[in-house]
Amino acid sequence: MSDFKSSKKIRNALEKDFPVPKSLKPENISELIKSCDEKPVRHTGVFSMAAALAACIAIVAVTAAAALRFAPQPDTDIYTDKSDKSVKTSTLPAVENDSEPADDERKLFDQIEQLKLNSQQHDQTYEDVNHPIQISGVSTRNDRLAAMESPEGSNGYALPSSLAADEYNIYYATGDNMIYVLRKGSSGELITIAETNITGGQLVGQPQIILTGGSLFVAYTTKNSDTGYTTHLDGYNTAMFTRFAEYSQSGSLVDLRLVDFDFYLVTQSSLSEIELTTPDALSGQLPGYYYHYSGNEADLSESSNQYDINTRFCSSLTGECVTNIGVISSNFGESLSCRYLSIFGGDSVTAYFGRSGLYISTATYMGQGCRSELFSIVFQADPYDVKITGSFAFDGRITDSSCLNEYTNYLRVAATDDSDGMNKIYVLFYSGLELEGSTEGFGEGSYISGVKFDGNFAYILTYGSDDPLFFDLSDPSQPYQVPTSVGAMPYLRMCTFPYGSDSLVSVGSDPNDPENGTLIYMYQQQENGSYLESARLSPGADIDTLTVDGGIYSDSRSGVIGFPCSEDGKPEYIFVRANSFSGMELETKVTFEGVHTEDVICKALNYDDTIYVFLSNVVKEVSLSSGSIEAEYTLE
Amino acid sequence: MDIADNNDPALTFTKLYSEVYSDLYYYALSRLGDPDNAEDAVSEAVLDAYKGFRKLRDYKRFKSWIFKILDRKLKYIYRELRRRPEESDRQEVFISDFSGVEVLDALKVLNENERTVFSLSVINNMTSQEISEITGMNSSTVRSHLLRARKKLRTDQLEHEIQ
Repeated sequence: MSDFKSSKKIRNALEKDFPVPKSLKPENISELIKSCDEKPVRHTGVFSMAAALAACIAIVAVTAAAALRFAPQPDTDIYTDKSDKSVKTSTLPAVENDSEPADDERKLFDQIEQLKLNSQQHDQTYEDVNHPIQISGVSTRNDRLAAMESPEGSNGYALPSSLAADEYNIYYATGDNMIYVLRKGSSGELITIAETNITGGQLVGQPQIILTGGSLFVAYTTKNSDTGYTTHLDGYNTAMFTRFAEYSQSGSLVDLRLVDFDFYLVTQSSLSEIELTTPDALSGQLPGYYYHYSGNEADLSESSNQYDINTRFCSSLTGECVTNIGVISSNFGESLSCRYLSIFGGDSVTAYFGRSGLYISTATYMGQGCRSELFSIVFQADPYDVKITGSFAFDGRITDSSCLNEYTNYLRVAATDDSDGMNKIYVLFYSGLELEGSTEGFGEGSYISGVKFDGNFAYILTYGSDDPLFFDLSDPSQPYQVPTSVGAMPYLRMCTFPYGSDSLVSVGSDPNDPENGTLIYMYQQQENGSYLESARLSPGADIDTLTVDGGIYSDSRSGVIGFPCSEDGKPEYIFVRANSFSGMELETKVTFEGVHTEDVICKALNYDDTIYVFLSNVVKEVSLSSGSIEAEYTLE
Repeated sequence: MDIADNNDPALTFTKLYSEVYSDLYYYALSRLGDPDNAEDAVSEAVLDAYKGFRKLRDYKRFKSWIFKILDRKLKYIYRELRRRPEESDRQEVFISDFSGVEVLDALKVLNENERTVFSLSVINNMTSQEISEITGMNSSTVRSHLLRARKKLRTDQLEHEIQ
């Protein structure tokens, strides 16, 4: 029987059991789309500053009004010190204009309200946070962009994972509302020394853990039928594992940063600064609408002077095409104040903080293609003096902030132009964004999925062409794609990441030869900076790379790479011995029974020369020296 | 058709939508496996599509364009739903009964990419070129995912039983 007939049969079965809902019938969607017809006037062109500033004032007024309307009730916005049972209420921020919005502003207000409602129906979770998440060798970013950050080591931001360890304990927050504290017992076995429930409703996504200053902080979002999405930040004493503080805010988590002694918690409805030095010093919150969705980003950075901490941030109102660039000024415990600069226009926004300032790219979609405008924004000594210093327009779009990179006075931009299916790297002088040079088009018919800039070099993953592609950017006026001597480099789908100081590792599969299963390639950097294949391994034809919820483990000092995969539909975590001189060989396959591959979130943690692999409430212990599975534990 | 000549974009949109709405719904349904979630996803995609409709220059591309919007939406919803997994140790599935409920159940054995390709190809009868346009995968990737999906679902068995 033909494919067509069987297709029809399946389709008929679905149509019979599941007729199209009435609300989706063409005659009924007019109600649905009616709300879209009243749109606010949009201004494009940032240099129409007068209009922008006028609108900016309106936005501030509206945002303030929205904040007052949507701000949580005082008794829901608390920072509770459990030790003395006192409850302290946060202060609302100082706003520049708290008058009632005028008619035009009210329309915009209503739009924001509608967006807010949409957001609640379609909330985002941790998985969309587009920043490296790595602690102690754990990488939990869920896509191959994630894995393009080295899983080794950590950085100043040390963004959270659901798994962390200090010299005594392992802390593990599961998707089943539980937090466990595990420790190696006297005879080497793993024992549970404490556990607690996460409260506040049904957990959405994976909890995130940050260990800092002897305390354990757990951030998570819950969903409750009455209150909707709420983001919580709980603090625990690691010695006694008692909860000493908790903070909650409406909306799901967009981003969480730990900078010096402050948390910056961004939910979809507010930005909060939470000081750690004294448990009750919640600086305040800045209500607004922080939408982080489908390529749009919120980003923030911090600078300090003698008096204030100035936090710069960017948030975007998706759908309404407004990007707010703001400076929050907080003076140690005082209320937050804020100044906005708004950019109007564009369908999506990408933000990137370089050393010199903020870069914003707004993309406007037109049929198959897209036109983008990139702006450089400089923050002056006066924290409220925010200036646009340059702009650059180009055909195409950038995938996300990994496509932007500032290096030695130049901003490098990796862009995809869907109209002709070509990709390019532009090199711009950082301040005025004047074009210095660009590469020839590359990766025809494909688009960029991830970029890693590494000094004068860059490597790029695309969908639909052989990966990775290498670029020499040492001459800003003549950047070029470095030809490799590897003729038949397969198109690897999952990830590429740095391994040690001079190697890259790619894990994925060749879709043109699916029978080969997962492939692992190692590339070594040559004297001229380019990369050449140095080793490859095919662990088995039946082994499929999992592209969900990453969990790459990489330790070049021990010569071990681990990654999640599946074999015959069963999840596995595979360890490979990898050395740029001796090549790669399969070491251990850690298998899990009774779970479906789609459910897998494998994570590995190197602790005391033992690697623990976590899957839900099962922990498997692998000896680093022998490569064998030494023990298995079930967290009850 | 030029939107500038049309005084009623809502009407044009509705007209174009009427040609694809059932395809959109069954694509969402087969991806998400739940009619309520599918309805929500399509509603939201329609809203997003209508907001950007005036920028669509070539109405011939309406179908692939709105499918792209829906596809993006489904990815996010799918990831959220995936966090509450159903216990299953199935390795292969025989679609021997063609009730819609069982079809949706059977599709659970596929991973996200396979389900995407299978839904567009088998349920919406699209070519690998069309699927490639919507999903961004190249055609050979589409074919390999479809191959694996069919292998998992044992559609050869399915076809045999139909005969």
